[in-house]
Amino acid sequence: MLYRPHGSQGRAATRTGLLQLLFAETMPVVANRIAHCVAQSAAAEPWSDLLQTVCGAIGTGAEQARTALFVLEQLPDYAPKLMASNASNLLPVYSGALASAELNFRISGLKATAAVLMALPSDKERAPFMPLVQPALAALAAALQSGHEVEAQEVMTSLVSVAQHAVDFFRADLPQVVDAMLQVANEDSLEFETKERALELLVTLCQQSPARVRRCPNVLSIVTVCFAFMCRLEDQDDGEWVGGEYSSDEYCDDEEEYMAGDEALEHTIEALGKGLLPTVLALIPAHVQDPDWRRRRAAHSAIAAAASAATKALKPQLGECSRALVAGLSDAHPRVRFSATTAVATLCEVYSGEFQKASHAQVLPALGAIVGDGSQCQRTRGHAAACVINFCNPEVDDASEFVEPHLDTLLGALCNCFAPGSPSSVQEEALGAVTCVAQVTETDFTRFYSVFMPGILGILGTAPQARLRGKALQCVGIIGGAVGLEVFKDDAVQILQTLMPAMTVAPGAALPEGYFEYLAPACAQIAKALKEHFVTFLPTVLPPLLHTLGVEVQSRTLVFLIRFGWLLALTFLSLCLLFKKAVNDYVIVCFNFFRVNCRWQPIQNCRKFLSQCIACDGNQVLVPFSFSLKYQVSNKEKRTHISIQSMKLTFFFESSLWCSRWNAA
Amino acid sequence: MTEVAGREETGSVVHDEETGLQSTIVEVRGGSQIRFTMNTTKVLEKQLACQTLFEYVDALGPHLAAFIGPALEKVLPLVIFKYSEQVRNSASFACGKLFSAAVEVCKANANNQFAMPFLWPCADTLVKGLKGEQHAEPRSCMAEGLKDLLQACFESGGKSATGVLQASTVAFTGEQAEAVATALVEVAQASIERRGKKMAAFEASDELEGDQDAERLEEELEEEVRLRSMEVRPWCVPLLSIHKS
Repeated sequence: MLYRPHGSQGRAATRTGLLQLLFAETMPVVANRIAHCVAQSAAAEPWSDLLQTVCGAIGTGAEQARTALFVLEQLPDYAPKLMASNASNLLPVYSGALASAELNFRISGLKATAAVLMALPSDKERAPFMPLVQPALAALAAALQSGHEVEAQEVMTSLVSVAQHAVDFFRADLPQVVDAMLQVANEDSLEFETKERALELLVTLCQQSPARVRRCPNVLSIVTVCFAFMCRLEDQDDGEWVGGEYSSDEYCDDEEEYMAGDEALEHTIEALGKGLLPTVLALIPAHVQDPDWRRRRAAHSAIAAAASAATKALKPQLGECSRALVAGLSDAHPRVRFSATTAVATLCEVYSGEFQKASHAQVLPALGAIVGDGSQCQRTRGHAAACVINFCNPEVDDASEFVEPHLDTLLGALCNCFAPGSPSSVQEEALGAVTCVAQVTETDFTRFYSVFMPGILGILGTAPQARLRGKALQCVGIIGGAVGLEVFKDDAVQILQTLMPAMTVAPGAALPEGYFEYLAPACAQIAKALKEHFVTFLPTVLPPLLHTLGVEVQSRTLVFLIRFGWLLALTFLSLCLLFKKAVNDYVIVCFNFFRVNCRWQPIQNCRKFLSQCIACDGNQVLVPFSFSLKYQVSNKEKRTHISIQSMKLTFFFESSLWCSRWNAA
Repeated sequence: MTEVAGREETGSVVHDEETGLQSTIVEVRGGSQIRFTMNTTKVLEKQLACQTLFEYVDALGPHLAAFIGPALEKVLPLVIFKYSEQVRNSASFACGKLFSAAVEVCKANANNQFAMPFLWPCADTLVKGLKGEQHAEPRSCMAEGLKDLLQACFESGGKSATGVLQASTVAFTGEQAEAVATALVEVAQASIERRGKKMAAFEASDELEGDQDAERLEEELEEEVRLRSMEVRPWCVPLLSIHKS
């Protein structure tokens, strides 16, 4: 272990030296590093006078007090048993720190308190700490009143951790904590990060202690706070958004405050349940009618959040919600149409089948109007096409019943998306929508086959975007399966003959772009349509699949003991990797890093790297002045090189090394 | 690979599509951050290959006869693939489907010799996976794969002209059937224990209320109910009927 080479006297001397170094150090960054060494040493073996010395240092000066509280903050992580057995003795230290006139001192005290609370194993042991909730709130108030928002955020971050791991700490003062957080989250003059942290604490309390939070008198105000978050948008110029490109990979409604409010509302409803729903629903009608588009958008998000989080409880109100969303689909503002579309997609998923059957007569024409209108902003249009995929979900029982009445309108609208000049991202979604419609309507799609198939084959042959071609290929396969062998066979064979050169891959050779994403799944779809007629293509399509299934992802372990020289070590490592079969799983590369007094940048970087690793894991013995990395790696053959894929990385270090390093510095 | 990272958001994942490398920042003791990088492409490709294979088997069934053996050889180790839950899920489904396709080949040829060599390796791997699995989703997928396998065995004798199921032709030995049944009972018992623990924790909690938070408990228990309904009901009749002794 850490001090074993020195014997008990040596250990005691090193510990004394560490504490002297710790409290003599004036640079907080260095003192913190030494504090980690102290905490690590305390975890390794009993250290009887440690807590006494650390607590004693609190009264000797501001710097020493800060350092001592930092040690107390780290100790529960390294030595939880030590701290749990001494927690009640240390309570006056934490109370004293929280009652201090110095704000930084109070915050350090709060962090130390939060750390020890998480180390205590039961409510009983945490109970004596409950009177510290009020001083913690007072510290938060002091930080906010003096404009120290970063410090206030630190306080709330600590309280969030406590709420996650030891929520009973707040039990006696929960209404006050909830009120305080509501006040902070509602305060417009504060930074977003501060308000968000308060909202996070509120949500965490709801999740961890729903029964108690429900009994707090002002708990329902959380809903208005969430709505307020969703309605704030500093940048009023939405021209940039409207002119932006559509992408299925990125959600466009992603402003920080809106997202924070939206997520918090969903999590709160989920945690507190149906009791919160009337408050949410009461706000929706006014918001839907509001002239401010941000409020209308918030109403749609709230419907989606309520549907996801309180599915059963919202069911009786589904009709009203649908009407609000259908109105939203033809809203004057594109961002409101976008949010209504998102909410419709959520309802399709949450009330799968039921929502579609009840609302198709209103929703599908409204979606079709957006999709078919070339003058719509492309984000709204692409999003609406994507929503058709959710609505016409082939996995819904009897989906054809609600899709077929709208087949002509819907497919006509989707057809417009393939007009020249349409963005490829919108075309991709439209292809997905056509695919779903074909799957749902099966043979009824046959009459549209001759309309769509030539266009889709055109995309397949000429579109420059590989992804769009891939989507087209998938679409072809599924349409083929829907319309049946008779209609599809000739096209299918022609497509497969075109595809086969790309699908012919020697075992181990690099696969073409999009092979697993599009090519292989599309071939499987075509196989479904062709059945036994596909068998002749199996010798081409299956070997690459089987080869991929058999590729070994075996982990290997390399140990680096840095003792010789930086370049020598790297050279040796490269040789080992190139001739991997000639070495065992354990490869040892050594060099004495700290004896290399070089100013060369890579070595400086390496030095920096090592210094950052200072406190990773101190449970292993190492030779003094050495540093080792142990990693498991796996093989990946790429060209002629073997690159390391790290699966797991463990660091070992010798603590005295760091003392030497700091002394040298 | 690791490298020194500047201060970045902990937990954010960056994916480099060109190299297939994925990296994330983790916080380590001492307030430092380290970027961990690993190549996830091979693992993802395995998962997609498994899914595609499943689609082929689903579409072509016995027409795939020549490839069933080689495919099972590759798929079986992936049922207990330690690096990815998703690969285990897909492999378990594919395993059940491949075996069912093998049984279909037997039915078409009125000869059980084609499927028999695959029966025990498939069942044994799925049972081992089921017993050792720590996560709920792969556990369900393995149970489903096993259910497909047992169902295929159960129906391997085909139907008579009057539509009555004939005796199974692809069947376990008595010893094998006992081993599978014992393992399944153990899995079901473990599931009941997990359910009991969850219910007890809910009832003992001061922080949750019976009427308000019942849905939360229901959700937590759903996975266990699904697992047992997949394990117990479908296998008990087939298993009793399909071993020869």
